[in-house]
Amino acid sequence: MTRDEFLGRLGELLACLPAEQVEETKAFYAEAIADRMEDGMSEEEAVAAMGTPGEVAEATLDDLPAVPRAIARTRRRSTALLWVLAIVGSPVWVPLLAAFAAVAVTVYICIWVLALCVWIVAAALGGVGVVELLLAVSGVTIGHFPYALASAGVGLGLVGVALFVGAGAWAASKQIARLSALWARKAASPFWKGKGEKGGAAAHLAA
Amino acid sequence: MISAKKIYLAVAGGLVAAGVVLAGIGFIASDFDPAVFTTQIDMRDDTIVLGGVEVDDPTGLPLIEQLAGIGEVDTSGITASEAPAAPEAPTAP
Repeated sequence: MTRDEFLGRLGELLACLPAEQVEETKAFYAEAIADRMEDGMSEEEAVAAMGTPGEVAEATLDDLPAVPRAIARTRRRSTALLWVLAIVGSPVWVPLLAAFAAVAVTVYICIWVLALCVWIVAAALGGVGVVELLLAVSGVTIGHFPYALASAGVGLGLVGVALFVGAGAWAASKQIARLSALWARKAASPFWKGKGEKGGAAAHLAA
Repeated sequence: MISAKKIYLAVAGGLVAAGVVLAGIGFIASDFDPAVFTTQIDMRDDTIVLGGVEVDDPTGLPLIEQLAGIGEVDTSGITASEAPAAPEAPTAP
């Protein structure tokens, strides 16, 4: 089988995917074949090393996230079947999708509420510290110096603790930013795969 | 960046240490009276007690003067729940 025949057959088998994705996959395998030919293989040997177009198409589909994979496999059987299932199954999948989105957004918000709580504690400690310093001024005004010293001490101490908690809140916010990004990727994983996670075709070639 | 963080933490630690020392000195100066840490502002009977000492005139005291200016805030209207008026019965046709 020649390179063009292989790529043509692969394009036919992946017709259920968006055209851009098909071209991307064909370009990937064309480059892989070219690399092998540069290494000294003949065109037939390089094409044979890729596996059959059917195996490559299956590997490409397996690499898709769950929802696009199910859509692509159904579409490969029949586009009409896909539309019928989408319309007839809409009372089931639309509420499920809405519930999934609601849970995903709620968990994302909860993650950030955790960070907000730490910032609120820091702000509250700082606020009470400032009030204590104002009360210390009142203590000086009325001439009650032990009270002024005690209030100033408590005020300064609370402002210092607020700075420590603020540093902790900043560190917690950075961790929570990572956690929320991880959650967003996890929540989107049934529908979408990041560019950096595209390893299915490479894994197929390595196998 | 690391030095800025170190300075920040050093300032925070310094403030806490200074606070503990000042509070300790105030406590000792009050003859170990725990009331030195208390502040009572009761606008119902205009009682202001700072560290166990009653203040008659809050004029010139920051924050306390402003609180005294606000006066007593009546929240009974918020908490007391009144039953809504019953709707009128419809007239017979």
